Amino acid sequence: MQGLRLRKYSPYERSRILFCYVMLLPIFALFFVLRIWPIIRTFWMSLFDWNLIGRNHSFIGLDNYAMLFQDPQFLLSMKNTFLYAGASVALCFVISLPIAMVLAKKMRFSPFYQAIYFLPFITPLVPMSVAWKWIYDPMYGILNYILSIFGMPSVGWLIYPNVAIWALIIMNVWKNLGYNIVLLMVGLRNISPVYYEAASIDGAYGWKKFQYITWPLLKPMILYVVVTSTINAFNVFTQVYVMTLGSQAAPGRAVRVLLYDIYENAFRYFRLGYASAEAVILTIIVIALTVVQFKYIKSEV
Amino acid sequence: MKRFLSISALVLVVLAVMVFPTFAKTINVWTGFPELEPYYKWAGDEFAKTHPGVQVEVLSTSLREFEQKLVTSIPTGTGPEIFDVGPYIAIKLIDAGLLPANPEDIDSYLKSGAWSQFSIDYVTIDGKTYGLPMMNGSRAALFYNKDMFVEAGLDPDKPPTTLTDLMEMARKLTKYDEAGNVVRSGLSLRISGGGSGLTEKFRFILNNAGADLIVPTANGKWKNGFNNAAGEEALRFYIDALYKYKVDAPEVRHDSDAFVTNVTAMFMRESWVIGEVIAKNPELNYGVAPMPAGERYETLAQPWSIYMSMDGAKSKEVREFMMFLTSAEAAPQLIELSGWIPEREFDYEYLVEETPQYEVFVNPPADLGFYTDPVIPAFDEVQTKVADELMAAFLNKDLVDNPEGIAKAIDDIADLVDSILKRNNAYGK
Amino acid sequence: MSKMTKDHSLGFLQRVLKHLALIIGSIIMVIPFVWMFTTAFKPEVEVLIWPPKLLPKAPTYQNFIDLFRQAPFFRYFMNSVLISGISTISILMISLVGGFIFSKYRFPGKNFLFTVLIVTAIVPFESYVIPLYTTMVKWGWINTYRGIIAPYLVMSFGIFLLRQHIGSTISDELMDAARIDGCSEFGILTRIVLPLSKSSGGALGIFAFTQAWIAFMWPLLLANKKEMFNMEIGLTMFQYRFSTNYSLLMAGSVISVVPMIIIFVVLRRQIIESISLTGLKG
Repeated sequence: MQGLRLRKYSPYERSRILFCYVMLLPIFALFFVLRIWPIIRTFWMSLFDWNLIGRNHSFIGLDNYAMLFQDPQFLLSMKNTFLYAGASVALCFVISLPIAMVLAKKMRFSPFYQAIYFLPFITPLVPMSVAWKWIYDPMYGILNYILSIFGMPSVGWLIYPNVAIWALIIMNVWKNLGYNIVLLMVGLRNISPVYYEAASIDGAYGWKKFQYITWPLLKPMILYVVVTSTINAFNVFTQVYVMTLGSQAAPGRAVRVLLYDIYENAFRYFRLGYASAEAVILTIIVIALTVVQFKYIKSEV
Repeated sequence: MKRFLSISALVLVVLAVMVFPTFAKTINVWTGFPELEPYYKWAGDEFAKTHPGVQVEVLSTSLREFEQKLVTSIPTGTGPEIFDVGPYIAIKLIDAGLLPANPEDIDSYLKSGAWSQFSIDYVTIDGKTYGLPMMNGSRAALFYNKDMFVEAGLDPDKPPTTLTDLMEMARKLTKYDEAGNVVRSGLSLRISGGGSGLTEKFRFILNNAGADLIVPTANGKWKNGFNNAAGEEALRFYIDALYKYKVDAPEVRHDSDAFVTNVTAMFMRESWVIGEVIAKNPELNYGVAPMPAGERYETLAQPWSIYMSMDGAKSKEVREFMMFLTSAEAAPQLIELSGWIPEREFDYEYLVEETPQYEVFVNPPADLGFYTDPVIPAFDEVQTKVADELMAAFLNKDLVDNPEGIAKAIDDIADLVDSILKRNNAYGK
Repeated sequence: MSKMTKDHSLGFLQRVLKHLALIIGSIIMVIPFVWMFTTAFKPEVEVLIWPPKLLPKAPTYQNFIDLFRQAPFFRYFMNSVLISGISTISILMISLVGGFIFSKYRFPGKNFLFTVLIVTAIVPFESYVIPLYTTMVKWGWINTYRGIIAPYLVMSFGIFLLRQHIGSTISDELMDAARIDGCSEFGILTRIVLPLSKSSGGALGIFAFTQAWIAFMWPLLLANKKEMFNMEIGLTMFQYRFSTNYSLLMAGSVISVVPMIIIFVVLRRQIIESISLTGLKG
């Protein structure tokens, strides 16, 4: 079919089109093997009772999905993941916006502060998870020591389910604050000063300026930051994995998150089909978030 | 940009050359026990003396990764030649036809009289033997700090013999700060930490209270064995220890670490802790007693074997190294370097003389019974998932003096166990 | 006059407050690093004291010596460099070619192919790791460098970034002029597009390098032997072995953090720019 259509092009154009295909062929071959085919196969495998060791895979339709919604571990991991993503993204945003607004203006040491706040974002996750585990140590950790200075009792940070998830959220906020700040600063600096000048002439100050200029003009960037951070938070795995490793004060079930549950079902219990169904649900959530972002940005701009 | 690319390509080639050294003949050994690494290293060095050109590489991974790595690397020939693994994991691999039955030389070595019939039977499946039982993987006992006993007015030569005694003594041994928080636990229980270990430790109490995690049914299948008074008693023991008598708390340090650093008076563990004490706090004045009894008087004791991969079994050096690892010659080193007790028959007199704490492990009391892990593929999932549920129950303060709550918690966990067994086609009435 | 000083002092007070708040925030941000560094130089006995002291009483290098004796961290480091390096080069090349083609040419099927790229950009890698893994098992690529590196060879985002950059910096007139001078299409790519894409290529390179450096789940699944571990997995396994020896663990963490901090200090501006650039367009 494509060959037929090509006839309408001149020989000169045809050679260029050929050039495009030749150049793109190896690229798309890689994309196909490493991305497209696995994505399709995840959907396919989720319809099977597929064991890593066993040789027979039986087709069971949507049974895996039906089982998932009765599996307390999966439901718990969904709840934890939503809480984790929601709380850390909200906290991170609320803290980073004022900092970004201060740093976006011309002020002394701004690049210095920016670098400090950004530092956790570029440091690898594993060493920082190990370090945070040590910070959270219930007996000798520095966090409980700081609390004790203010007369507060020790907290078993990584022990109690309700607390452990917040311990992870705190660490995530610490890690991603710099990312939010940098992006919001870009957004703020892109707002033309003309708007503010015009507003000043109209007599708008402080909060009013923020409400009528900063917020609406920053909205696309805010949305971008929030959505990418949420997607990132949904993919939380490394911290949970590292912090639950070992027998001491490690939360097991407490911080079960979606990817951890997928990992455990797939590579510990070898239930590849079941884990694929979980992965499909993760994919759907992420796609939904992205679609929201695109829709919203389009309607705004 | 072009120059950048070519320079970095050059750097990478140099790096690649540095990173890919090759060795003549490498035997890869994998273990899920970090404390066994020194032993394997020693054995490798020793073995290399008589087998020049052979190099032994040891990798210790967390037990969690172990299975996945074995299952995927063994069929593709990228795995270890030798590995140690629990029986319920080995059975999965044997089931799938991924492990070779013992070649003749290994089989006759196993049956040469160095192992008890019990050990041989334990590794025999459908008439064929698999692997060599290297150590006694889980024979647990009660470790107690004698100085703390004296300090609390207890007789250091009379450790608790019943579960009731255990709790009572633990209460006397616990220390609190002004606010009433535990600073030194009287009895250190495993109450946190991901993975099956938590359930395994819970079974110490559960079993002696008179229940089992799963029990065989008439038709050769399995079902939960703790949805009863004994199961409730075991959970109540933990809840009372944590909240009623406060002999332990989630916030304090646990396990061998706590014992070695004098932060707990008693805890239940395997023989390797003795090695740990020698390495980290040789001054510690402690004793080791058999598990305190309840309805039953038993302890977990299962042979832990080393296995070969399909390719490994074909290599003469690998087979010889298997035999060396389980030889009488290497046995004292296994004890000294890891603290684990070899499974083979061995004269331990010298050891008990040197370190009396080994007595309980090598010469257990005649009336002490033993139980082992059921050898079924689903057992690992049962233990791991029960651990999650138990941990939640342990942290639930509402269960104090709440028999209905405890019965409900046990009932829920029992349902979970049965549902896992059902899904794995291992459930029977 | 008096009014001016009043304004001035008010502004001054405000400035001081701002800096004070920012400094307190900065302290909170760096405490984990400081705590990690100082613990790494403490002997083990000093770790288990209450109240904890920030600075070691008897600083020691012993932890670092033990560290390298216990695990081949240099090898882990080299593996990380190798994996990230190859990944970065591959992504740069692919993105340059792909970005160039998608921004400057029209051909049948373009929209379809571009949509495919967008889909692969949205679906998170971890969600299709299972079939990718079974493929690697089938190919016998478990525990090999090629298996570990493979998924990091492509990044659809890189194509988007360079497409946008090339589209805005290289005009069609420039390309036509080159064609008249007898330059082939491929020549345009190497002689015009490549030199003009340095800045965004650099930003993408930094991004790709860190992306591969922090790879975790994939190498955790693929690497079976110590000599294949990258820094992240090496440290994870190390922490499993020495789970409560915090001074040793912190020494390990310091070793894995320092290279990144050095890179950050040297390339701070470019890194922050690269993140803001990558954030500009999703």
